Formats: sequence, C-alpha cells, structure tokens
Amino acid sequence: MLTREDFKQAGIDTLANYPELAVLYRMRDPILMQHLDAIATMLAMYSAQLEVGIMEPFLKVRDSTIFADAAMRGIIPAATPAKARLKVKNLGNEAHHLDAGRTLIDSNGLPWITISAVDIGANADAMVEANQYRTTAIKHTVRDTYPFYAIEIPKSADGAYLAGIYVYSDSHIFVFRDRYVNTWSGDPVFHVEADEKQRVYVRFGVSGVVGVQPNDGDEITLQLGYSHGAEAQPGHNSPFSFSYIQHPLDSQIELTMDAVLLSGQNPIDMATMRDIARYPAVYNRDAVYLGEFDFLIRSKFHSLKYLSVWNEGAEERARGASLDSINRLFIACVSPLETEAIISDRSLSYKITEENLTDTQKSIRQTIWDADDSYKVSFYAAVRFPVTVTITAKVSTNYAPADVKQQIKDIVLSAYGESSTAAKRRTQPTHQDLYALITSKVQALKSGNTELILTVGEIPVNTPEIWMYVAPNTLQITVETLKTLVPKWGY
Amino acid sequence: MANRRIQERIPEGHDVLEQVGHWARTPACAYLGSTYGNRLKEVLFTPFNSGLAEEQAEKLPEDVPAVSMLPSDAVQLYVQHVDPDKTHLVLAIAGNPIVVEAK
Repeated sequence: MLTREDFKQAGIDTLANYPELAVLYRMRDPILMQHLDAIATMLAMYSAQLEVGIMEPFLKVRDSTIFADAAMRGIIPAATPAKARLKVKNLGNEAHHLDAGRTLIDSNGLPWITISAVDIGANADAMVEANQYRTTAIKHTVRDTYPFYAIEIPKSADGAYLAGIYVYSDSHIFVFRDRYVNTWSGDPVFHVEADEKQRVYVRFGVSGVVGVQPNDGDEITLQLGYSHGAEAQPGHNSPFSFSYIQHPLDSQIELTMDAVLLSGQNPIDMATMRDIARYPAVYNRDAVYLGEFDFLIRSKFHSLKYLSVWNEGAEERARGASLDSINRLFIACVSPLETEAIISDRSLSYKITEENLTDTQKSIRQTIWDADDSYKVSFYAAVRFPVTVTITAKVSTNYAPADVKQQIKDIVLSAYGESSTAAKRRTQPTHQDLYALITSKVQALKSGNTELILTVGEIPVNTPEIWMYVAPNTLQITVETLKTLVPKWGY
Repeated sequence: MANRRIQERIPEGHDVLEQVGHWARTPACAYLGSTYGNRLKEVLFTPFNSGLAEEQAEKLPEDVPAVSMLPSDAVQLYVQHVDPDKTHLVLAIAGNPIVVEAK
C-alpha cells in the first residue's frame, strides 16, 4: 500500500524539472505544498481502498494478509527467554544461600533472573539456572468498562520483547485460559490476543456470561516479563554480577556462565508466519486436531533448524512393525544450539535415550503432553543427508558462464540449502520444482535455444529422520556457452 | 544550461507576503489531510482571554515556513476601526499590513 508520503515524495522528485517551482519548494511555499499534499492524501486514501479490496484466499503473499492470518490464529509475538546454567563460586570462608528470583546482569548488560535456589559451601562451587528476562508491573485503572474489556500491553522501550504476563487485582488472581474454554461465569480468567498490527492485548470476560468483566474503577495490575530472546548470548565463562547486594556475603560470590540450556527465541518472524499461514485449519491448541503436532511444535519452537514429526505408521514403514510403536510419536529435531545428536550415516539411525535428551527436546515433549498426554514420545537422531544435484546449463555467448553459474548456485542454495524453509520442512527438491525455479529466475535461460539438464540424486523416501538439503559441495553446476545462429541483420 | 540559471530567481520579500496572503485567505483545514489555514474569523466571536488570536499568530510561522525566518516580532495582529461601524482585522508582517477578508 502506498502512503501519502510515498506519493508526496514522487511529486517532489519531479520538481527538479521545473526551476520556478523548485525555488518555491525550497521556501516550502504553502501555495505549492498544500496542493501536492492534498493530491497525495487523495491518492493515499484510494490506495488504502485498493489494499483492502485485494483478498488472498489461498496463496497468502502480502504482509498485511500474513499479519491478519496470524492474528486470527492467535499467534502472539512473544519471545522465549534463554535459559543458562551458571557456575557459582563462593570465595569466602562461610557457607551461603542464594534464593531463587535474584536478579543478575550479564557481561552484555542484559538482565537475568535465577530460577533455582542454591546452597554453596565455603570455598566451594555450585550450579544455578537463570532465565533472561526482567519483570515490570503496570497498574491499569478500568474506565468505561465494556464486555471483553481489553488492556493493551505496552512495548518495551529498550527493544526487549514480551515474554510473559501475570494478571491480578485486589479481588482476583486471573488465570490464563486460551479462548475462555472450560470457563464459568465469574471465573477470573484472561485471554491474550494480538491484532493485525501485532499489538498484544489482555482481554477479560463478560459479566453474567463468561469470566469476569472488570468494573469501573477497578485497579488491575499486569506483571509483564520482557526478554531479549535470541540476542542473549553470553560467552562461555563470561562473568555475571548481582543487580544489587542483599547480604554482605554476596560480595564473596563469583558467577560465571557455564552452559546455555535453552537458546532464547525472538518473536515469530515473517518467514515462519508465512509458512504457518499455509495450514488451512484454525484450531484450539489445547487439543490437537487431526494430529497436527507438526503445526503445534513449529508454532511454539519456530527457531528450530530442522523438525520432523511422524507417527507409528511412518515408523513401521521405515523400520518394520513393533509393539513399542503403538501410540507413540517420533520426533527428530535440531535446535539453533545444535546440541542434539546428528549423524551422517542413515544406516546408523538410533533412538536417543532419556539421559541424552537436551532441554529443547524435553520442552518439545512437554508441549505435546500438554496438548495430548496419551501419546508416548521418542526422539531420533537427525541424519544429515546432502542431496546431490547436478546441473548442466548451456547459454548463449552473451552471458559470462561464471556469473550464470554463481546465479544458479545462489538460487538453488537459498531455496533448498541447509538453512532454507524447504530443508526445515523436509520438502524434497524434485526435478520439476528445480527446473521451474531456475528457468524463472535466471535471465540467461529465458532466451531461446538454451539448454538446462538437471539430475537429482536418489533420496531415501522411507526414512523420516533424514535432514535433506542441498549442500554447496554436493551441488555441481556446469555452464557452457553455445554459439547459436541468431536470426539478425548485419554480421 | 545557462538559460536555466538565469530563470532561477532568488526569493524576495513579496514572495513571503504572497504566501501570507494565501494563508489569510484559506480557512483552517480547507485542504484535504492538512490543518493549514487561519481561524481568524473565529477570533471575532471568541472571548479575548481564550488566547485564540495569539494561537493564530503562532500558527502562521508553522504553516508558512518562510515567516519563521523573520524575527519573532515580525507577525502582528491588530484591529483597525474604520468609520462609522466597521472594523478591519489586520495581519502585519514586518510592517506590511494585510487586511483579512471578511468574505
């Protein structure tokens, strides 16, 4: 959609052709500027109408459609805080106790809060876990109450993202229930939603119908957690310090970063939202509809590098029947930290044992159990499988072969490479898709008498845990130039 | 090229007066999407201490940027009684009077 400023700028850009008017523009003469402004406003209003009029029922491409789709599905732009394990060293001669909930600051200045209490002996070490977030409380006084009263959550000034919401008032502590399911009238319940401009609201109920509708003058406190998501990356062994000293023995404590257990996640980005918009159904995530666990995990853990979820049917096709597979869900995943087991040889596929599960895998399992705890969950190691793709292209002598080769390489790797959306979702690179992609994007192959020959290496279809992608070393491209007889006049 | 340079002229005082005259003839919010214009007609019907006249004197340099280049006391707004029962509302820019039209 073009804004008023876009149209105004387009008008101003042509003023250089009219020197008399250019002088007036330099003075910002209102006789000229107001005319331009009014015309730009008119065109902007028309552009807004056009924007609203273009509907995208099937293939959702425009940003505004994607935002509206995300709002409808209840996708809230929230970050997941990073979780780290810190080493606590007591340099003093007395044993000390640290409570949970202590605020710390890391070497990059980000706030952390400890989530476990720990006792440390004199001159000894201990481990403590901390999440990267800070809490702020805002008090909101209800004015002009209406059914489904909403309070907007303010954005943080320091660029941190919303991570958690806790709502209470003098008379109630509100409980979160997605879409008011299982809620009586009078139950203190709140619902979180986002609109198509990605503003987040806390919404209450209707008195006499569902939930609680706040009365005029009620003071409601929102305790908000803000986190920096994936930007929290303290270095190994980097120092942490207490925000404030509560006890004289605190000055004898030294905190250093030991390991990152769960990497932080920024709010869902456009590319993932576009991906999620392809799913047709809109359903309640408390009960997974028709087995859409893939959607459930992808929407909650959208920064995973690879995810494959399959059921006993696919498992038995791959590895034969077994009583163990009944009611079991199988997952292979790779998180951004890449701490999960990844192997290169698919004949060595194995199930990961309980003690080798990473925190991300345990969280994924918990998400599934929150939705449907009748399933048993097993994790498989992901198997790297670089697909061999051989491309031979023959282009006319007008083009430099090295440029065309680089262009084809960039196109194929961005569509099917290791970090592409296709690799995340196990989309096989087929001849048809690659052919259509390359011929539509490479200018050299659009003119007649060019040739494009593709071969894609064999992909084992029955192995659900393979992570297939096109790697730079398995992609071979040869570009030859043809001397073609072009029908033209002259020599 | 040389022709172009001759045609380009330097803005002068009468340009500023033309612009202020245009402002004085345009009621506020007359152009779509803009609050440009004067509310001087309303000044006649609002009480003195509501400050509307001072607001208009401050609004002029915001709407017409050329006036903001002049010293701060360049904009004067006063009333002139003309026999026997008429009053002219005069906007003077650096001493040049512009009578605000009553139409």
